[in-house]
Amino acid sequence: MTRFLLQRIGLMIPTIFFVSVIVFSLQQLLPGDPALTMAGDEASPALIAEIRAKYHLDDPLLVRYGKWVAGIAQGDLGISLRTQQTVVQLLTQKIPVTLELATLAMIIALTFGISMGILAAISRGGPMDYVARCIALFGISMPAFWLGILFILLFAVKWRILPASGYVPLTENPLENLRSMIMPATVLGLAVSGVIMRHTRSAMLQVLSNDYVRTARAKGLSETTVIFVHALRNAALPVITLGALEFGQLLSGTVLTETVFSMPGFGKLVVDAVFNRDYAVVQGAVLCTAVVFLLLNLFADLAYAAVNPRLRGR
Amino acid sequence: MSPYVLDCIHPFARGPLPAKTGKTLLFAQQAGRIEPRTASGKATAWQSEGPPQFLLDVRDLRVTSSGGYPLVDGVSFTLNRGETLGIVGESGCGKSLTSLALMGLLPPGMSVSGQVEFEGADLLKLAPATVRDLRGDRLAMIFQDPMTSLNPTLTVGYQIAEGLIRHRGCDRREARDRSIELLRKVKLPAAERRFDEYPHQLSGGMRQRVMIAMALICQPALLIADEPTTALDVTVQAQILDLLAELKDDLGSAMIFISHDLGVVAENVDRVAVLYAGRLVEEGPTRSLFEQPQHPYTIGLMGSIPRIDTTSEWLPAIAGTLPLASDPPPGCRFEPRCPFAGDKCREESPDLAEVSAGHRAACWKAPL
Ligand SMILES: Nc1ncnc2c1ncn2[C@@H]1O[C@H](COP(=O)(O)OP(=O)(O)O)[C@@H](O)[C@H]1O
Ligand code: SF4
Ligand SMILES: [Mg+2]
Repeated sequence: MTRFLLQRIGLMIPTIFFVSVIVFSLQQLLPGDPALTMAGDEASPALIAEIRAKYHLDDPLLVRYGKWVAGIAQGDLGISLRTQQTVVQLLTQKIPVTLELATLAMIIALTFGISMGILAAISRGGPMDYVARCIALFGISMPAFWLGILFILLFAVKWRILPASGYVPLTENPLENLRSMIMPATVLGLAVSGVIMRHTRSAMLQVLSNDYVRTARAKGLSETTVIFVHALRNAALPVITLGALEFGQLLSGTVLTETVFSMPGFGKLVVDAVFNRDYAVVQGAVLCTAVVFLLLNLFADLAYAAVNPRLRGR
Repeated sequence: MSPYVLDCIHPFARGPLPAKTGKTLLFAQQAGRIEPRTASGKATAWQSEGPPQFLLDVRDLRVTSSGGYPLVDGVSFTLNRGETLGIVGESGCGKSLTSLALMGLLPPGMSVSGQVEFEGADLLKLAPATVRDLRGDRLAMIFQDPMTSLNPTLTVGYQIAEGLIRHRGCDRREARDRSIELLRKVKLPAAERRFDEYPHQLSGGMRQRVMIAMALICQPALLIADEPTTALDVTVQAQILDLLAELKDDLGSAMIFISHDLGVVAENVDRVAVLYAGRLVEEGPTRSLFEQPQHPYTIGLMGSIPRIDTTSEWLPAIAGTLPLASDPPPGCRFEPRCPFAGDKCREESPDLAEVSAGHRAACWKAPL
């Protein structure tokens, strides 16, 4: 197990290196000049030159990459061209919001998706199966921002039981925090739960047709034991992998929802940075996303190994 | 070891065929070549006096596919306590479905009718929860493929102990001790260590030992073994067969032993039932059935047992294939492949009729 873990971590290092190279080079290919953006349309050439010098924009590419990487090694991702805050500061402000949102959404998605998937599988072809699949289709095909607007209209405007937008930090007021999170998290979670429900259903159906399920029934076990002890463990394997992927998607794909609910999250940070040619922020954010994805994959592999004894003890 | 367990091939596997087939050859095969010995030598129901009290009394068992075709078609047999019944027939003739019907484990969509009286109660009429209480406790089953029949994500120990926890209300500690004890009995090497291992860490033979332990953990009155050795190496097969015979005698369990290989059955059972295309075509005490087979299909099956004295030559297998369940022949099911078939066979299906004491055959030409 330790070897497996070390191996996986060892593999992450070259991956992060490649990501950093790609992020850095793509950034240089983006049209537009950050110095121009900062100085404004009417700026004098002298001001632009000053800005270029200050942010080392005229250094050769390789030198700039070298400086960037050296900075990262010291926990320095540079300074936002726009707000003058350090990128690390910005990220540590925004990431918790998105992380909380994505985690809540994932909890909703897993709870709902897995239980609906199991119900659909065991009542295959029956009314319960039909209802579950309809809900999944609805969740998958309904655009999140649209559902978000409907939610706001219903819960915030009409019934006034939840705040329409805004964000209260968890540390400030946990209850208000939850109230501000529940709508965006549900909107995000519903879409993901559809995908998870479908995968759970098909994995469960596949597993239920296995010989060992018949063996379990031959022991006289109740259907509940057969499903939760014997089948679900095996059906969980593909769902774990999917869950990690979906969680990564949630972390990086909350932009629209964050916009609809005015959440000061990571997605909004990245989009603003791209529009403002705020190189340092974009680079830092993408690198951060890549690392999170890799960690999620690692976590999924560990969870997979925990459920699947064939991968253990290697 | 008897000659016919030396080499196990599918009964209908083709070797070099002699040019001549048909009546003369089929009869030639009977000539005292097979010498069965009764597995436990116990008296069968037919030999005992007074009204027999059966452990299992199956009457007119029918399994119908979701498409409405008969897959098991009116099978009846009985089983005494401690007795071993062999069910033979080529692949696809309904052996597994018969046993699954007894266990109440038929695939979804299939329907079952008839009567399965086990320890005095009709399993087909009992509430599902009551059948679940019996399953794994009073009647248990070993499946053909030990590679796929064990749950890959649970330890083998847990999978055995589970039965005790379910049916005997044992706590984990006691269930563990008793499971390890049984693992020793099924001669699993390093039983204590193996208890905590997963199926993928065990060989096929060891897994089948685990399956056997799993089935016997509650000391069932009836054990159904569906081709328990077919998926195993030849060397392991004989060990597993011996083990099964030994354990069932120990526990006093009755056994239904299913095989496509008449040779394997001859060694291990008190009585033999021959299935063909979902029907019981012959049934009787092992000795009587092997010495005087009455149904042409049984004779054909014997013809496919490899001969020890002429190693290079195989006796003819039965030509042709099983009829489709969706399109059975109107008369005798075996008629399209039968060298003895006459006009009556094409029109009317023969019923089982007694040919000698306790020996029944369904053939217009029987007794031969
Ligand atoms: N799950 C199933 N669905 C439909 N038909 C089946 C199924 N299982 C078995 N059958 C059919 O039932 C017949 C008997 O099968 P089975 O009892 O498995 O034969 P055996 O065990 O003697 O090889 C075969 O013709 C097979 O095609
Ligand atoms: S009834 Fe006729 S066709 Fe059927 S097995 Fe007997 S002789 Fe052959
Ligand atoms: Mg079978």
